Amino acid sequence: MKKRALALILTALTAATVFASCNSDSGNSSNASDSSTGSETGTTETSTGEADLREDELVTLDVVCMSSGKNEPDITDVENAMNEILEEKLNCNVNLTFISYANYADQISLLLSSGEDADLLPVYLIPLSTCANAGQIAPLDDLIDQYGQGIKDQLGDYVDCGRIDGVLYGVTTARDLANSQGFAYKTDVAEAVGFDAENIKTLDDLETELKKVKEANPDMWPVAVSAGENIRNWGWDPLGDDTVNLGVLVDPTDPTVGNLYESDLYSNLATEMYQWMQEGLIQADAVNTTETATTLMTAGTAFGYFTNLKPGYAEENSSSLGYQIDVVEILPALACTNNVSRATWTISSGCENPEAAMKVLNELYTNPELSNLYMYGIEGVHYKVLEEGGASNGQDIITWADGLDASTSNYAKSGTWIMPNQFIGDVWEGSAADVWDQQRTFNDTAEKSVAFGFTYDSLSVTNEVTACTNVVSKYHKALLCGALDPATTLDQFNEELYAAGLQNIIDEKQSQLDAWLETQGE
Amino acid sequence: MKKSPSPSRAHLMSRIRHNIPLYLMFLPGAIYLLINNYIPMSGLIIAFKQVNWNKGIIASPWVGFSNFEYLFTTSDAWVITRNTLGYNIVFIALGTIIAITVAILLNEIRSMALKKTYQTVILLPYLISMVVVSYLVYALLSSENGFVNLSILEPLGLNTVSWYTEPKYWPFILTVTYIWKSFGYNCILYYATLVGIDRGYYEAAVIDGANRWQQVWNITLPELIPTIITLTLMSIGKIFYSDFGLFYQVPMDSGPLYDVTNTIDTYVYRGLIRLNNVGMSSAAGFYQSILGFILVLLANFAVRKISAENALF
Repeated sequence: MKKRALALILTALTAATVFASCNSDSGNSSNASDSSTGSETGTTETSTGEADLREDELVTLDVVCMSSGKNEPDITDVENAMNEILEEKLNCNVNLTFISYANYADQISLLLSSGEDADLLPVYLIPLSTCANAGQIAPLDDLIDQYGQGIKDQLGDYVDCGRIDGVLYGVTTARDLANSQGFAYKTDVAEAVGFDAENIKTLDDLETELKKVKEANPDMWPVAVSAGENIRNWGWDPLGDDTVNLGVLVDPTDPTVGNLYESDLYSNLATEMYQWMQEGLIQADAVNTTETATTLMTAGTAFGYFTNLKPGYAEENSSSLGYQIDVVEILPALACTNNVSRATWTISSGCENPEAAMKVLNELYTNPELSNLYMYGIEGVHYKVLEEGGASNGQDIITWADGLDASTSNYAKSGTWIMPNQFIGDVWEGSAADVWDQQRTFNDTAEKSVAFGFTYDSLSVTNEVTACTNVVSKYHKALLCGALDPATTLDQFNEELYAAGLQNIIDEKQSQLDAWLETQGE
Repeated sequence: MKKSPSPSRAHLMSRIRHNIPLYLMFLPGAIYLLINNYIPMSGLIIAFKQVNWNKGIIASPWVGFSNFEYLFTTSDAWVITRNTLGYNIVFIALGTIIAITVAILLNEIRSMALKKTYQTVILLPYLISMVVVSYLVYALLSSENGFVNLSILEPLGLNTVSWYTEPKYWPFILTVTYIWKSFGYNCILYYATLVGIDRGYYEAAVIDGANRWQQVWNITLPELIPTIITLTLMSIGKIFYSDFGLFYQVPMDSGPLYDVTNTIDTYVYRGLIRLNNVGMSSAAGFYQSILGFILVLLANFAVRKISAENALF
């Protein structure tokens, strides 16, 4: 009898907690909607007051971004300097967080799922559509119309590449929006061994030159990989699947969606890499490395890495690495929607004050002073001006502050391309004074995939995408690292992909692409 | 009870009053259990939702079992179930045998100093974090600088092995790693039971002319059986939960090894991290709970049939 009573009490308790948690959840969501409607009415008031964009109460926004993996001890100082500007103009504060490249995808998945601690962040390495379909990021159409005119002016038509099913979810960062593919390497080693970049037109040529490096430096890996990824793309249009490549245009001039992993292009590439691995040209245990290639290069144990290229790539990276690198281009520039949508700034749906977030984002895209702070830190502390107004956009040419370099600075610049708008900011010493203009021209003149501007919505094939992603994560990176023999694994890989429903994804993509192409023809 | 509620209620109240200190001692554990084990159960509904963070969990649309589909459209469900179960069965069987053997051997050592030394040495790996273990394994197996390739295979004139891309070796590597790390703890538990066995039995056996082997077989093992059953039952209760560190950290998340290293736990983790889909990873977690629950019931049922007093419930 007592046992039963106890059981009853326990059940009641469990049920009560379940309901309690349900209640608190729905309570939260209703609160959230309350606050958003509240601030909407607030904004109509302010917008009648025209230029005054200041929030009624001080709003603090969590701004997350990627850095090269260093800790930034001076982050609070930079924050304070940025807040001075933002507080005066918008009555907003920012709280900066940096996440390293190797952890970025994992960490922002968790941040977005928890809905906390991230208001503004660039979605990178995760498809924008995945986040949009999961409701993790907020639709931006109304916000950008109201507060984002500056962003529109800066980006022009490229804004539309952040649309999923017609709804805008992210705005791309201002950077190289097309990519050529090639190889980056340490200049001093190359000179010492007679590495002849002029000779390199194909992978085979590169192989010949890399062998020279291996011969002269047996303890050095000619090719290093970053977090298990050797080659991200080799001239195909991934149609929205940046890293998984489920259904791609193998030939970007032909609108037929196909299976990349069955193509000759892929099998040749994997075979070549496998051979390189056998010859000791690729870092051993490449598959399970969590380091980035540049870490090994800094340590002197690696020579170079495959990368996508843009004008000024070597100069930009030489300055942040602290030693000279050079690049050799192997595949010409190609512009796909991915190049644009792969890194887009978004507002998380957990953000309690999306209007303020959009205002801050707009400011980051348009205010050079703010942008410089975010990218390079504080003038005189982290960097110094070499030539005032020396850049073609009217900004300064800058370099490390006295006595500092990439490894000793407490707010070291890393990839500024993932910051909202580097084009309005200073130019680092060593890059051409018109490097930003060069990149704009590069974007405008690159060959465009036939599907440029097309974004794909994976919602109807979620199950297939999940199953296929699991298969791809088993083989793809390992194949392109040369760790698996394509002769024995490629067939099995494709078999498993089709069993996981790849054909449905390809069909779905094809029909969406055809529909889109028709609207383009009109 | 309905006819005369007052006497029994008074009795109950007095008993409760009498046991207040005990209830207070039980309270922290109960609260812990509630917060950690029962409240999160409400999250199971996520497995049946297409979660849209904009709407919140409650308002997200119900999708029935469609989150479970991906598990069964591929061989994933089979592979992760096989791995989880297979490894755990091997771990339980081998772990028990080795722990008991070592405990008996320990018991035979006469020198107190040596005994303490061995105990400590055996227990030490249990205290090391899995992340550290993964680097110890890496130090052995790294294709470039690993001890096995560099100092064993090469000097013997054998071909070196790229360990992190060859799935066939990993069932063995993982088993050895697990046993090495964990048997010390179980060994101490068995040893504690051994020490408690009345020396009189052994003396009587020696007088009857029993040799060492006969003593072990007829006295030590029968005395150990209750401990063995309890420990095994507890392990079976967790047979659908794998040691995350062992299966994720030790193979260093290497893709080519997934077929032999993917267990339900690592699968759920990767599902959330890589696919950014809470619904689907909850579905996999739900599947794990259901299978685990059924298995605990079955195991307990079996034990009750064999020896009722040792069953958990």
